[in-house]
Amino acid sequence: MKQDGVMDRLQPAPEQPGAKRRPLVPMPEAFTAANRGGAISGIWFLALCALTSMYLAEVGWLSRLGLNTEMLALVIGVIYGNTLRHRLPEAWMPGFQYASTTLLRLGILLYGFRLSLGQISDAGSQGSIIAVALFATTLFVAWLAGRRWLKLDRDTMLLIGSSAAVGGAATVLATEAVTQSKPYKISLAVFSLMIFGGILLFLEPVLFNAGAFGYWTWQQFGSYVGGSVHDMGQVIEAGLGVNQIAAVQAIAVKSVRTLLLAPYLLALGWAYWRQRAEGAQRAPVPWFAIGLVLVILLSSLDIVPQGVLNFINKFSTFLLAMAAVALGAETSLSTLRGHIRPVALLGGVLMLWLLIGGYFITWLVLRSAGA
Amino acid sequence: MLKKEHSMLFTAARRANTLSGIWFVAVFALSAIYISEIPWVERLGFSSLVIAIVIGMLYGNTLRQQLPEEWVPGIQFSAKVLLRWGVALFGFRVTFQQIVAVGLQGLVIDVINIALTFFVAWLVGTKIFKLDRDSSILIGSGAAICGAAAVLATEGVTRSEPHKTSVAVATVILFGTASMFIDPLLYHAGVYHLMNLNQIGLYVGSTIHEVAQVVVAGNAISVAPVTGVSDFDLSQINVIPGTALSILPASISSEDVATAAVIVKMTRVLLLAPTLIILGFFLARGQQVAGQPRQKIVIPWFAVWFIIVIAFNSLNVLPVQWVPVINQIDTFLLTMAMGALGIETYWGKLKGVGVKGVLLGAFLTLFLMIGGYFITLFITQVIH
Repeated sequence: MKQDGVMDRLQPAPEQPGAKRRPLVPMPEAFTAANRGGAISGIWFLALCALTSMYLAEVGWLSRLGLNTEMLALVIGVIYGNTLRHRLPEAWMPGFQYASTTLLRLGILLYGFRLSLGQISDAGSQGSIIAVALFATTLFVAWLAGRRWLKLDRDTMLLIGSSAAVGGAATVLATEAVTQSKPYKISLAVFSLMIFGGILLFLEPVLFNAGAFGYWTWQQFGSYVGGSVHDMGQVIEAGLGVNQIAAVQAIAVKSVRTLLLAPYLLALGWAYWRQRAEGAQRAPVPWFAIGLVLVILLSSLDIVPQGVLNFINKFSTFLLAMAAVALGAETSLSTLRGHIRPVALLGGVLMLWLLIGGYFITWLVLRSAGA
Repeated sequence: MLKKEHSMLFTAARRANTLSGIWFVAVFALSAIYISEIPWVERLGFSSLVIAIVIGMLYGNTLRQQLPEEWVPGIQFSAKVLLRWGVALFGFRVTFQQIVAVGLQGLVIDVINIALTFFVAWLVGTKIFKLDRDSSILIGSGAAICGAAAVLATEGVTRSEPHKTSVAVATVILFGTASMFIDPLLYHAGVYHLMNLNQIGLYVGSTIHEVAQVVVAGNAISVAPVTGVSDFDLSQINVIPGTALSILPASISSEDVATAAVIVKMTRVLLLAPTLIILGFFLARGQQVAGQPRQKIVIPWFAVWFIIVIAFNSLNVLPVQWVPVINQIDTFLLTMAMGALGIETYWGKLKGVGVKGVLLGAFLTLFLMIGGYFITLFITQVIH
């Protein structure tokens, strides 16, 4: 696959593995008799915050801005983390750690039930080609701009790159589950996703309605939106900015992009595992990435009843929101301030690539199909 | 609207802790609102207020000891001050026309209930359960007037020891919550089939302890579909003599249950001031304590605000699109108050109070439920 080529070039990154990794809190450690009450209190607190963000995500004007549950959860976490965080009992922290590691993985695993191989045929061959092409080129641009030009560290580049290439706050969280990078990097990636995806969400329908895309049909525009706007929520709103037909096609193409999360995580997990195996530390096999593939295969069989699926989807959103609150609460704004410029530049470059490069790729695919 | 004791919570040293407590209650409330909007929960007819007190009690009885003590003032602030704001804002759902519709009947029922409850509390409390007079009066005030706030106000008149007050507050929480669940259950089981919806509103408002509990019970009767009571519908009530809807505006919809209940309940709250004056008069006659200054009469200001809001609402000057926003804020505040009440309702707190006090509280609740039922039926037939 093409992204493997990209991944190989990412390998010789001159970063020290191990040094910056947060230790994983395995389940028994978080729930010893001594701190069980505290850990559960922390999880309870996160659960309430997660439900709050799920409620806010249903508020009309917030969803029209393309804000989804995970983004709002992260914002809630960051706001809390920078105001009242110091009053939070230390005893509750194991719960936060547990949510941002174990529960996060479980959430990503269950996220797989939203994806199925059938989505490829829904998007059509043109839509799928657009999705794959934009995914691969966007990752490449992220590497070029992020590592070569802006000299960002690899984790940040990968988090922001995946937020644009695969798209979505859930993707950032999934990438975090492999890279285990510092929480502020997640926040940076999600913020850049919210802002630049939000700009595209408003810009693309306006451009289309102004006739900037010439002879494109609604469906073709939908393919473009699905390939180029970051998050699913933003894609839906951008599609609806034109009409229902565009939105349906946009969702289909975006689903293919999200499906690429599985091979992406596998490649990423394999790369990290191999690298850490070379180092002194024993690296964890990213079982959950393999699990995600199995879940997608299971979901492709179409044997799970719709009612169960709806519940699983809500539950995975809930788990991811908990993790997002926990990661957001660990983000201090003063740390963010020093990183804003390069991250904003990378996010901006990726946005421009999606907008302009996305246009040309869509144009090329449509043209060759028409010929 | 902030009293001095409450503004103390927001000094620089305590602000972050108090806000942490309030934030904690706020996420409780928003979670409860989210859960209440899940379709199958909505179909069961649980409002966000019920869910808030249930998950609050769930938390209060499991993880409560992990809660930082410094946050507790913020939680109590939500249970007291935010509750009053929420009640005052509830006035935006009420107009004077509705008050007139329930007004006189509600007032008479309230006066009778309060007088009888106080009398029974004194009689049964001192003669049968051998409680001291102060405890009996405090527990009686909690059942008769307006819950925990009334107990605290009555304490200002009786000037009794704190532990007696907490016994009385505990009975309010325990039995008010119990009747909040029992009344709608009995309604849906068809027990109140002799009553029309307006009478049920009067009944609920005049017999349940706390304002928030009245809102919950009234809503539970309003919102939930009448299931399992196939022979119960509004058209039949018209036939039953003496309970004909002709007393009232013909179009009584089920939403009016909560409104009527709250109006009656707030009338009861407003009766706190005259009740305290009369109580003070009786107590002063019983014991002429020399040298003590006369106790200031406690005015339930939130009840006054409630009336001001109703007056404003009745003028019809508010833009229509503001109403849902205000109602949402109001629901949020009331849900927070219920969540906070739930968190503070834990077994350890109730366990310590005297058994006799709890028995008296239970007795008064039963008296209100049964006696209040007949009083409501009687008064609504006598006064047209």
